[in-house]
Amino acid sequence: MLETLITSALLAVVGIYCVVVKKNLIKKVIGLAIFTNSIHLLLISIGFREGGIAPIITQANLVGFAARAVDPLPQALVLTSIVIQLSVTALALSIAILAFRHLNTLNTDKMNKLSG
Amino acid sequence: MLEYIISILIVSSFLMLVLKRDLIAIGAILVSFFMMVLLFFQDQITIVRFGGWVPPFGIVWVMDGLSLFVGLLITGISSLVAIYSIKYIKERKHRFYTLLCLMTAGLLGVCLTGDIFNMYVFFEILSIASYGLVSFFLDEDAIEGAFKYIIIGSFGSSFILLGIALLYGVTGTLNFADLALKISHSPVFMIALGLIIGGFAFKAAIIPFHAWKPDAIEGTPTPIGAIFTTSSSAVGVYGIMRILFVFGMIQLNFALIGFGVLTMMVGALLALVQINAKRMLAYSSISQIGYVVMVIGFGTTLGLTSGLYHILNNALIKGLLFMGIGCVIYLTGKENLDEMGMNNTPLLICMGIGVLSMAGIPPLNGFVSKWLIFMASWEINPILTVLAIIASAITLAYGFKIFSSIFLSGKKSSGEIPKIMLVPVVILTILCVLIGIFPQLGLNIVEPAANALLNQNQYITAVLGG
Amino acid sequence: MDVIIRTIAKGIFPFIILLGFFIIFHGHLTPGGSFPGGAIVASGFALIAVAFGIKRAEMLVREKTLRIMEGIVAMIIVILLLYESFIREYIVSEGEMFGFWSAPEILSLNVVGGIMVMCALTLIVFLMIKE
Repeated sequence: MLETLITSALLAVVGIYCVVVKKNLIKKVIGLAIFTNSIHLLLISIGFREGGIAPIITQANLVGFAARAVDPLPQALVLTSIVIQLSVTALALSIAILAFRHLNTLNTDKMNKLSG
Repeated sequence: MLEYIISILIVSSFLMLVLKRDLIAIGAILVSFFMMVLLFFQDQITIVRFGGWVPPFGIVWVMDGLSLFVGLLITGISSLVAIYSIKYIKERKHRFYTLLCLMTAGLLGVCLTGDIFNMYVFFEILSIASYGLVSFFLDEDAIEGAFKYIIIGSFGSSFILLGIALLYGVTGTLNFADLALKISHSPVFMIALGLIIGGFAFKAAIIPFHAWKPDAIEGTPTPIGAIFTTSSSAVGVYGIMRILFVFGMIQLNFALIGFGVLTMMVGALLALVQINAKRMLAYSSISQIGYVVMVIGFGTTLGLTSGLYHILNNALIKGLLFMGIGCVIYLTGKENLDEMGMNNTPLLICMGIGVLSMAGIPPLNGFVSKWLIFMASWEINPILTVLAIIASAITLAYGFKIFSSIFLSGKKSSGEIPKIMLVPVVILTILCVLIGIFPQLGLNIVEPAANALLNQNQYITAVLGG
Repeated sequence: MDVIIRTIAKGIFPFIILLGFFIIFHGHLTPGGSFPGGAIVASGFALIAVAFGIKRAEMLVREKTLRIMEGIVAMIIVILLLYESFIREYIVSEGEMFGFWSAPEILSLNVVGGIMVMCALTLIVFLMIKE
């Protein structure tokens, strides 16, 4: 439990650093993905239970299922969030392709037409 | 009935991908508006339980006075924009209307749902549709604005997700009404609330988080700029209000007052120095949202009423000004204030009323809500009133700058504005004047919303079934 | 791509598709369901597109077909969701517990959702390769 929390905090720091500091458009998108994945790790670890079983009902584990299974709700939330993350990443990458076509560079310092 | 409104919008947006008829989308948005109007006459909280599950377990949609008010505003503005865009958008129309439908569905979903994760999902639907709409023209400005928006916007939504994760870890529930019963005052809980409110502040473009908005609006098609400055900001503020409401924190809040005053003043000052018309209006809307955030921080009945009233008036005025500027851009193709210029009497009257109303000149609607805001802030601290009046004066200055550079520059324009583009502008102008002369009209819509915000127990019993 | 990748891709492609559809169709019984299954099927198409080129992959399924299919399937999902939330209360589904037909509503949603995910992901991959 503590290990996953520390890992997710480290990943979040890496992600935020990557989004804020890096100048390359693709690297910014990667940083965003790392940051979101750290949140997914946190969500999954919230539902974790020491020595728990998978939250699927079968004939073998009908008795005492609720007391032993891990919480399935965070897993459903993470799955939904992964789908959202996927579409945002795809959209961001396609916009990065278009930006490269217009500016011939992926450097954000060159994207300064709109400012003020 | 709530679920049909959103299903109509989502089904028609996918139908557009297959059939490519613009009328489907326009019809769907208009139908959703009329259904919201029908719901307005029901005087109670409407609840939909999906799959027949009882609230703390299943997803539930709740419509109280506040949701109804924001929903009415969203669908109204969206239908006007849909009518306006028939002529404004010339190519790839079906893509535009697909995204417009999805965006309306996302905006509506955020205010109708009673489940915090469901809210996040609709928020992301709204955000993805907005990213698509900002990059719609695919030229250099649009791509740059869209990329900035996509990075900052998804960063903000990630904070909402992080807040939801922490909230679920502390309380073990996602339903608003159930959350309201399980408030704790542990630090993790407070951090979670702060993160969620911060995420919505990105959407509402409150000043430290505003950087995406002018860029996005400069790149986007002008009618979508009208949605960004009205419905999107309203939904951001709605999210903040809903979270505060659920956790019983509608009270004197110095953080909100501080951010509100900062947003109000800095937004107005930044608007003054802009040379691009769309950018100036974007900063202006940021400044107007600052007023709303400030008065929500008061937590009084008068404060909430005036804040919600100002959301309504800001929507009418910004919709009017954006669509008016859109007409000018449609004819001249220029966006810089120095180069714009035309002579057209109906548009001149409408824009003139819009500019005066934005500055809060007495017989118009802007005055009504600003007067209420001045009264509400006088109760708390007269210094806030003085600051609000100063911001109002700056508003008059840049409003006059827009008006004079378009209509008093003496430039003539060739061509004629299509009639269908003038219809929404005229409708909004009439509404502005009507609400200014009969303030009770607006109060009829706003007061149920403010009462709903102050009556938390009613919400909880309605959802959980007392 | 060289001959090793092509040969392996040719051999493994049907099994990837089979695995994907197995996961989609058993979503109500085992972990997985529409999204993982659809992603596996889409990765099969992506493998063909990488190994043999986009033209060969488009002989299997065309871009326009994917677009139209996605739109139609998305509409079916919304209609199914409405069905789930209103009519389901009045229909008692009879089925043996843990059997394949135990939950026809979830099965139908999984299948439709899986096809939608497949279409969307394949479309994204195709469009990105074409750029």
